[in-house]
Amino acid sequence: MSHSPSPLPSAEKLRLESLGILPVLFPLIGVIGLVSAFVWGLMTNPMQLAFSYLFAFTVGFTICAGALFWTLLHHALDADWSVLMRRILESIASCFPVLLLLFLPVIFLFSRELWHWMTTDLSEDPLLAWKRPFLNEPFFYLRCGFYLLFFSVAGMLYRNLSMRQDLDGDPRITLRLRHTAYGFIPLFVLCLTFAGFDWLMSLDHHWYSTMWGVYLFAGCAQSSMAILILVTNGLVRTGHLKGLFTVEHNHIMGMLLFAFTTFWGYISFSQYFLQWYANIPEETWFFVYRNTGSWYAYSIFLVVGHFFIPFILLLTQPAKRTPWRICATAAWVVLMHCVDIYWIIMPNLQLQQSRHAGHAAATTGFHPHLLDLLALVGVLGVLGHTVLWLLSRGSIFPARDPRLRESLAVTNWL
Amino acid sequence: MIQPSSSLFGLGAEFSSAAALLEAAKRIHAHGFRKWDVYSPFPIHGMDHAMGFKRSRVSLFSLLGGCTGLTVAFVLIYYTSAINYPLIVQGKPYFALEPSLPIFFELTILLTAFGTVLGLLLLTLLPRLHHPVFNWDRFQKATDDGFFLVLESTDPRFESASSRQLLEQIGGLHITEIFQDPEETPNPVRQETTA
Repeated sequence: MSHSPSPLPSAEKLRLESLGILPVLFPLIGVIGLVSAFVWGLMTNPMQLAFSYLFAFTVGFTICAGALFWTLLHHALDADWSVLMRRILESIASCFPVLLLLFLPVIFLFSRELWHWMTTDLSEDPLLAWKRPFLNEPFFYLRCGFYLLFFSVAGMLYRNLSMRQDLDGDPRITLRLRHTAYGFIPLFVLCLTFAGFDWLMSLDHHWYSTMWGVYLFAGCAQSSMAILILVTNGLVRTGHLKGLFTVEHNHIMGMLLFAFTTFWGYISFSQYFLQWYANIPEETWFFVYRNTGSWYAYSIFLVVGHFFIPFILLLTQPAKRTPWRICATAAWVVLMHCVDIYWIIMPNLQLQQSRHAGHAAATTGFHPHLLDLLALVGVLGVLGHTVLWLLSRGSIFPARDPRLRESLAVTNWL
Repeated sequence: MIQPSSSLFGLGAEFSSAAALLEAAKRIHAHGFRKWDVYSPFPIHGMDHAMGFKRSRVSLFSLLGGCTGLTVAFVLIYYTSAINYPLIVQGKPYFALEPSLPIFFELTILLTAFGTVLGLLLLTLLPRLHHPVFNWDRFQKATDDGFFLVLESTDPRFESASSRQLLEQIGGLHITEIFQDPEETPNPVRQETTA
């Protein structure tokens, strides 16, 4: 380079005192939300609690899985723009050990409430008999353990090695992480797809969609990019990353959020479109359940709110370059991601309830329950606290990454 | 607007490098010129910013193309399958949104692309067979290793003597008057020897 390079910024610690009440709020709402949900739910309505809790867990899980995806993708593609924000992604992706703990109640308390196939008599359900080699309890728990262990190991490996590079600046760590990413991405795809099959698709075990994994993935990538936008801009607002984070970073993250908004729209339409066209009973029931009663309005709201609104909000350049606009859109996307997961899981609660009451499986409409909110607030509080704790353990950006300079100088040629 | 008394197109100057041309463009823009352009063998990063370009209006044509495409797709499907030749296929409605959406999408994209390309051609006044800058024989280097800046005489700030001075100040070389009529453009060799 002809001009003398400016000195690289030194490592920057998270200043917890600048975050206001957040460091206290997260553990507080986490504990209050989870304890009150469990006490109240187990005493009054265990089945409602089981589904509310699975909903909250899945929201947390998908956001963390998305962060792991962006971390792996960053390394596999040798990206430069995202170096500045990568520590945030690594910290979110390192929450999987906590998610592993949060999954224990699902296994030990709720599994037979959630998954109808665990309690169905095989002689009454020949379709399930065919699926038994896959859908049986020992194999199911083994798979759950494998997914969460893989995600935990991958998330922690990427964060720990990146933290080690902060100390010694060894560029070989970058190479090693890049090469590992090539192997981890296929494993990530398999684990996410089968986790989606096991935890969500098998809630209604007659139904199947070959696009289920990619549908879930689209939501993961979109929601975690929205979370990244919110966390990064929050840090900037509280005086972190001063002079390092620029409007260009917001622009790139906004473009990726836009891309995955479109991707989600494309995938969810394709899934619906194929099943609408084929008109096979086992397949169409999924949508019939979700078009019954007020679920119909809810489904329309999902399409409009999850795709059309963010699509239009993100279309122009100022929408991506103005911090408050991109943050408002990102917050909306996170909300709609919760709406999406709720739409996937909650109709199954009504199916279970009607089966237990001795009726044919049917849905009645959108009936929110306070336990949904308590469980969601609890899980997100615990995860938020974990992320802040992980972020405060070292520099908030990889200070000695070989590509940091490129990340700081990134520009979009308009 | 071409001055009727003169067929002068503008004043051209050559620059030694892409960086020099970028710097010159910033200076010319700072002087408030409106009708001028730069020519280089390859795109120069940051040039549109240096020249003070506003947002291109091509996207308006893209939007028009897209809206046309969506309308054409809707009319095409609705008229053919629900009005002109209604036919029940697989128990589906004559017209339904589901199978139409891919076609809406495809035609919207296709006509957006057409609109964009046509809008680009319209706004850049292409295709055209000739341009006065080609009357300047040094300009052949613009596709090889030459970096040029041309101030057009229709610019309200253009004034032959002072503009020449300005181009000299910002490092312009081989400053030459370019005429609409190839016969009038001075032989560049003679221009250099007399200058």
